[in-house]
Amino acid sequence: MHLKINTSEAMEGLGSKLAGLLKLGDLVLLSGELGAGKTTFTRGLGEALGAEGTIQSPTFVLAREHRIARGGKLVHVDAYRLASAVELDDLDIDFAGSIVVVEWARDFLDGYAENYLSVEIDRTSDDEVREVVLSAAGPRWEGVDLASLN
Amino acid sequence: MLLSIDTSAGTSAALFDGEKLLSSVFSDDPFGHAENIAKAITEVLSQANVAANTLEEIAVGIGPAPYTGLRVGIAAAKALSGGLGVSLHGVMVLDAIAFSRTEARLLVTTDAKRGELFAAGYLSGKREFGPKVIDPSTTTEFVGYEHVSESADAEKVGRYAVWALKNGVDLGETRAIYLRSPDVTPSPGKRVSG
Amino acid sequence: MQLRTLSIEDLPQVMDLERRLFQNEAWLEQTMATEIISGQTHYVGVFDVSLLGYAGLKVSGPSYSSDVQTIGVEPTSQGRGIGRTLMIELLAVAKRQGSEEVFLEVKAGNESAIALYVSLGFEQINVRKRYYQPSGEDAIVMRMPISQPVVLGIESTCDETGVGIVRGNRLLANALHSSMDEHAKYGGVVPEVAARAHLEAFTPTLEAALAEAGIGYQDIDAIAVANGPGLSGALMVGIGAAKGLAVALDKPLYAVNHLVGHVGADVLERGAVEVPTIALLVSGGHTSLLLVRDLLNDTQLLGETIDDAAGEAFDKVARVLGLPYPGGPQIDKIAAEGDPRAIRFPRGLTLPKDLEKHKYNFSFSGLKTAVARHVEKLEDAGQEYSKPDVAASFREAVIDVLLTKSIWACEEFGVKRLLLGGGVVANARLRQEAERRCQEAGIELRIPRFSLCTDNGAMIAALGSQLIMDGREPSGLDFGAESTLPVTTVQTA
Repeated sequence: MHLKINTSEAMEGLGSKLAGLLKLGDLVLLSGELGAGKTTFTRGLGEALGAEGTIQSPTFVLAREHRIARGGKLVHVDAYRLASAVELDDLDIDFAGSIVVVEWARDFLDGYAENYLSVEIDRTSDDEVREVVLSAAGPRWEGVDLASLN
Repeated sequence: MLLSIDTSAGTSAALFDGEKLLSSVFSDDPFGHAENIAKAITEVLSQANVAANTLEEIAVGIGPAPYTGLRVGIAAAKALSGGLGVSLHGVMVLDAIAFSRTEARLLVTTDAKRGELFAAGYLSGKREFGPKVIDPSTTTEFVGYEHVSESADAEKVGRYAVWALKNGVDLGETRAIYLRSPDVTPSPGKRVSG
Repeated sequence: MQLRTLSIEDLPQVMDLERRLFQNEAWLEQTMATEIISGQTHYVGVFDVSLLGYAGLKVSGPSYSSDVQTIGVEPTSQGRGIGRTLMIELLAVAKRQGSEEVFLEVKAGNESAIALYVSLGFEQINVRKRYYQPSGEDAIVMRMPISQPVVLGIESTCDETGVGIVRGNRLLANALHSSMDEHAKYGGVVPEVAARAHLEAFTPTLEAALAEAGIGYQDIDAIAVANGPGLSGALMVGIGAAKGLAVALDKPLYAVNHLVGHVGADVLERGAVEVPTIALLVSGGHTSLLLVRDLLNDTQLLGETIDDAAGEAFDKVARVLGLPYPGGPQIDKIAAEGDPRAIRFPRGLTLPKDLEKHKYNFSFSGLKTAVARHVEKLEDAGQEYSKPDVAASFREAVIDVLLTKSIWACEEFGVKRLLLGGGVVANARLRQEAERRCQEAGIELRIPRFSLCTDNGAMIAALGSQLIMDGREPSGLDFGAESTLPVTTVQTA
């Protein structure tokens, strides 16, 4: 599913809308260059989930955990400094009890999990506008209509 | 009086008077080590009506085990032994598991995360190889070994420590056994422009 | 009967009693007024509708001592224990403020007062001949020691293992081990590397602290540990150690907030916590702006970074410029030759449209991207450019945003004090600009010494000590690591 997002507020809004589709145990893979809007997207997601604490770039710490309103956690990961999927394991994340969002998710994460949602954010020639491509993999997402995110 | 602590899987503590087990506390929560560690220690002491300052030895499981939880037990044990002024003994947890078994030839494995196993092999109670990291698919290569896959706990750690100390086995190593380096790749820096 | 703090409204009643009690030795009204409103003194009174007695204490933070300035009880109400009530309150205030001794003077002939003081624990230490005028009576100088808690604090929130020891507000030891060198090759903090380093460093750092303080385990009255915010794996090492120590020594344990600890670090420099204050805490992992009205009871997060921390931005820009980690000192070095006005980089979240939702929040992601794009464009085009200018201009943009928002906060909340904390305080340009802007704005700037600004165990011990002196119950033994602990939670139960 392709979307055009015109402002950073709209990017936050997209994240917020996505929250409504997510369950504990879900994995969201975010890709896009520096400054594309991955953290902005996650901020909107976190707000809609009622996440405790401010959503901040996890580059420094690799992963940040936030308790969320429904119980369980939002785990916000920056995978750039991880060389492989096994290092994701080392972060000791309770996947079943969390919604995990991974920034800088790259090829190595394909095949890491059977079920995941992929959000690719690309810049355009316009400084503010982004093109977002959403896709899902695995039985978890069968029958889930991503069009509601429009 | 020996207190054993283990956080290699769950969080547990056990108290021994010589070889006799006086009390034992165990929580199998794989995530709550920091929350549970103090309670485990204070409860195992109060169940046996023993004061902390009468302890003479502390034994702790030093892994190999999932790192975050493992460190909680070792940190607590170090501080406890330092504060009480008593010796700290480190037990490699696969040894403790093997000691609790009777099989002649034993392959002991525990979960190493990352889809791998920590493993060690024993013959007539003596460690032949390990601890090391192996791929689960290779366990069948250990022909003639009874494969045991179970967790360690403070009771096993304590029993082994009591025997080891009595039989002159060196338990002086108290650093954590990780078997793997952190392996995070130094990053080259992100480009902005496409 | 009611005991309460005196205010200037009570002056007439106080002066009436003052003159009747002390006659030609009575203080002037102006003197009493100054005493009552002073920030360094505590004046209390006992009332039963009307004023029955009053007493005043002057606290000197830096010398860890207090002086009883005056005490007087209505003649018709003497013998009812009012003097004792007033003295007990003053002693409690002295203790809470970190005083290790309390002094007073009393007329040599005032047997009942001397008996009261002796019963409270005062001892005569001196006689001042003919001290009281015009009567010429001698003064007996008395002193009472107050024992303050010896608190050991443990810090393991990020990449520095800190163990500090305080007695009340007095710093006894501050031992630190940093794993920054191990992290250099990774270009940033790796939680697993940090946690492993904490476990190895804990015992040596603890022993170094005990040696520095010249005390043994048996002298420790309580333990404090930072249980958040920070990296969970790292926090868990400190928490495990703190709990082990608490059980071994059978002493109370306080789980405290690391960020609030940064604000409280100043108490070890001044002997007192000066509030209200705006606090700007800037490090690799945190960029937060706090409004502190009462360190233990009223700390509010005004804003923080919504993407990169300031220190992190320095690390990333350093990398763009081909400089090693950590970025702060590296940027500083080459910025010295550069022109801070060469390039106008964006100051994040300062546009009118940002002020509604993000007035006190920070964003360095756009700045970092702008610098990277600027450099990439020039490098791709094969153009020569001045790295010093880029570094200086970047640094200027960061400092501009940090200080502009801090001063806005001082102005909006009417607080004339700004405290800086966190490792980025090492940046000389930040300190220089902070001094300049604060002076211009009439704001008092506080920057504790560097060893108390970076992550350290002494500030954790100091916060624990404040809680104990305030009579707070210790934490239970069930708390865990809270990686996003909010500043409104000073202590975890």
